[in-house]
Amino acid sequence: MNIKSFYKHYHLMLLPGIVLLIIFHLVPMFGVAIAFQDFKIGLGIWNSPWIGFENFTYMFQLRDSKVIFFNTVFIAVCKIIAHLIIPLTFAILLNEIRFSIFKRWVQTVVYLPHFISWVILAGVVIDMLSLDGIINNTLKALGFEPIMFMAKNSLFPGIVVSTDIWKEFGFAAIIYLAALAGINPSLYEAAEMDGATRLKQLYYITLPSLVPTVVLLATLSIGNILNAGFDQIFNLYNPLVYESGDIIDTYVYRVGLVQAQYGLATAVGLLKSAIGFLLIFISYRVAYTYANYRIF
Amino acid sequence: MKKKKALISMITLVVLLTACSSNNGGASKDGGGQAADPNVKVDPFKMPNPIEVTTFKSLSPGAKLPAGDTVESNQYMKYISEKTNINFKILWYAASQDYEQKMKLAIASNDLPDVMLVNEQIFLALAEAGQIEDLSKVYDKYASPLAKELYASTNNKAIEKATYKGKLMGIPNISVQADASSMAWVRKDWMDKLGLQPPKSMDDVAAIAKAFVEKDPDGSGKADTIGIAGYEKALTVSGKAQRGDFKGIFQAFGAYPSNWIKDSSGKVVYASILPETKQALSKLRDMYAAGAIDKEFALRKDPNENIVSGKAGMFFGPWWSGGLAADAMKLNPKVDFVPYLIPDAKGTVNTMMVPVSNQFIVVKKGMKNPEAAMIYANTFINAQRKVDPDALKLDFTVSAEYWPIGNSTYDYADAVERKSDTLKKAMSGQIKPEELNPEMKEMFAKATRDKANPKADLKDWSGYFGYTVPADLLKQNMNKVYSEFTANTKTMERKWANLQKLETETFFGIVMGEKPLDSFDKFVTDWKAQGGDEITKEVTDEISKSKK
Repeated sequence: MNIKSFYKHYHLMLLPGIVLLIIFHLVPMFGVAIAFQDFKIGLGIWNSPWIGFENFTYMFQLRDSKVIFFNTVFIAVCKIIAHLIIPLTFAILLNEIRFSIFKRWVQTVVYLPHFISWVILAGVVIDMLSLDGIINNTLKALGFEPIMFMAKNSLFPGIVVSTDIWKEFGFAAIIYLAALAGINPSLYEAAEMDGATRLKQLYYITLPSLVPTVVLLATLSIGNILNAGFDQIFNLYNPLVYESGDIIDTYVYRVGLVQAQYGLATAVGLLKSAIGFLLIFISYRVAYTYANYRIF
Repeated sequence: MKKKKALISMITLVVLLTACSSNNGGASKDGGGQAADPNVKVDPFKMPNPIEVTTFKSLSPGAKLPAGDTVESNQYMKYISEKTNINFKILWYAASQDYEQKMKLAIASNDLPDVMLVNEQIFLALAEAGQIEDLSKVYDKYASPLAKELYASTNNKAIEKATYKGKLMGIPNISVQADASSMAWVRKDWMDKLGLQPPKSMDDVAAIAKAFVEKDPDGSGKADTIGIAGYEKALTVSGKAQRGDFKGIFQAFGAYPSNWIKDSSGKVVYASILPETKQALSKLRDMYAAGAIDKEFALRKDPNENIVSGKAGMFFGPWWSGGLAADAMKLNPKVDFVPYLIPDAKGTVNTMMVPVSNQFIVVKKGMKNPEAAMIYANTFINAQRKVDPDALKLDFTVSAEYWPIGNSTYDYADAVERKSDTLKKAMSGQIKPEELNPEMKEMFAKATRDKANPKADLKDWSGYFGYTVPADLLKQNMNKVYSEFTANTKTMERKWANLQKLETETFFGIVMGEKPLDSFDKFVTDWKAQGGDEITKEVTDEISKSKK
């Protein structure tokens, strides 16, 4: 009896979350019907003609499809790799600092950008990289030619990835710091007794203890492989870098909302979600097989 | 859908460019008048009983209100409510581009307000879907004499535009044709300093712009000046001339990108793929390489920034750009922008004209009092043309966007030239000030005050300047080119986004030197192959259909 009411309590706490999920995630799913229609505003979902997979076949015929798909995956993969390595390295280095006031100060400063929206940060980035921005002024002072960073296809993905890291690495490091704090100190003590140096302790204790966290984060991020970051790229890009910066989401925005082709845009978005689902399923299996990692 | 929601919330964050308001006064001689025909029983200016009407509203972020006023309660809302008995209820409002998307979604879910202001594309979609009310009878019964007179000044083209399958489905606005011309506004103080002559051709423009960049006209000792200012939409010029676009440069080569025009053999073609456009791009490319055009124009979101701050020595803009010049003068009184119309190599000034109507007031199907829309329009026109004495009490420096149904112009098609003539005659004493209508009286007062004390009050100066030098430029003979097609076709719906991306990428690439000039030829081939030919055929069919 006692145990049952205890569980009820928890189920009740789950309720608001489930309601939100139904209202904002499940109910709107019926809208994907648009992907199979020649959707006309005015006629609505009920009256628009059904056209089967035409939107999908058209999508694959598009000249831009390959470019957009490549950009999306390329930028997302770069981001995922950088998001695994940089916060991890940073957390390990920070963990070695024994002077705790300085440590907290650094941590606070690096995670602050996480709370600023891309609308504002993009302004800052564009300003810094403009012809009379701080970076080009430095280049000029050193005798180099100024570079139009935001107009170069060769540089744009790099700018996207590095500014995203700049914004997020401090916040991502928190998870690793928590994992580091969870390592049993007696392991280090024992290793020290055995004469292991700092570097050896890192290699034999710290890194292996972090593997589950890394695997978890990597698994979760693979599901996001087609999310290269709409808000960031939308605020940073311009027609000159469509070739290297146009991703599925920004394309869907331009085609779907600006040009009012809701059917095609929904089809592209649906395909994206389907691939994302498939990938997270596979990566979860892989993580289970090779790292013996399970969420449930 | 979930993602779409996320997109929408992102879009609402985007900072948008301020739409320009071209609020011209009217030179109506007989004034239209409050007195409705006594034989007609209805009052075209007032509902018999107070009613509530819902609407959506587009507001630009820069539109300011006096302290204490709100979007729902301000002088315009009160004026309409008192005059017409119509109380507008604004369901929601948003900045212009967000507005358009939010409105499209509302239309998609058939969640329309009683009345709203829409563009041509949405107007046709609504009419096709049968979502809006037929206003033919309402128009016949309620349109005020002034409204009818204004529509008559367009040879009834405006009414034709609002007619769908023989029924009048909306109340069209009337664009002032002067808004089409793109003039080169050049800093005269800089030209004088460097001993340069006013530009007579595009080569002169390029040379002056280059000198502005290289010869340090502001005397700062640093290379911090810009020749021709521009912004990210400078190369996509379809309708009205906008401040900061390059319409003026294209037209000096007889190029009208983004428009459907008749070529020399009378066939309708998409002007972006014509050789003239290539020529214009070639010139733009040279000017860009020489540094005459703002190096970063493609990255600028705001067309006005560099002009107001006094960094730029030249920009292309319509006749009413004096307000922008006044803003620059506020910061630096020496700034002196003078407009020029740049002719093509043969000495002809080309102008791509604007559609006579591009905005329509529509009424939701099944609304109880469709006549409210016409009553509103009549009252609004009387206020905008200042023929109603009470309207003069309104503070017209408050953005016209705060009128209950958006901001669109209803005026004579040739209003600028008309008013300019009247002002000239009044200033030279040919017309006595007391004979002027209220609107011209106000302008005359501004001009007189400014003459006595030049540029002491920039509000006075910018209030009449457009009707002097810029309006005189418009009176010369021009080669007026008309857009043959402004709606959508079936294939266009599907393939246009793609073609436009191709066009933007190519044009920007060519101008900024990222792509060779000859990539234009590949663009033309690709454009045709990727649906352009198909669309051209559809457009031709549509046009011949509508002529029958």
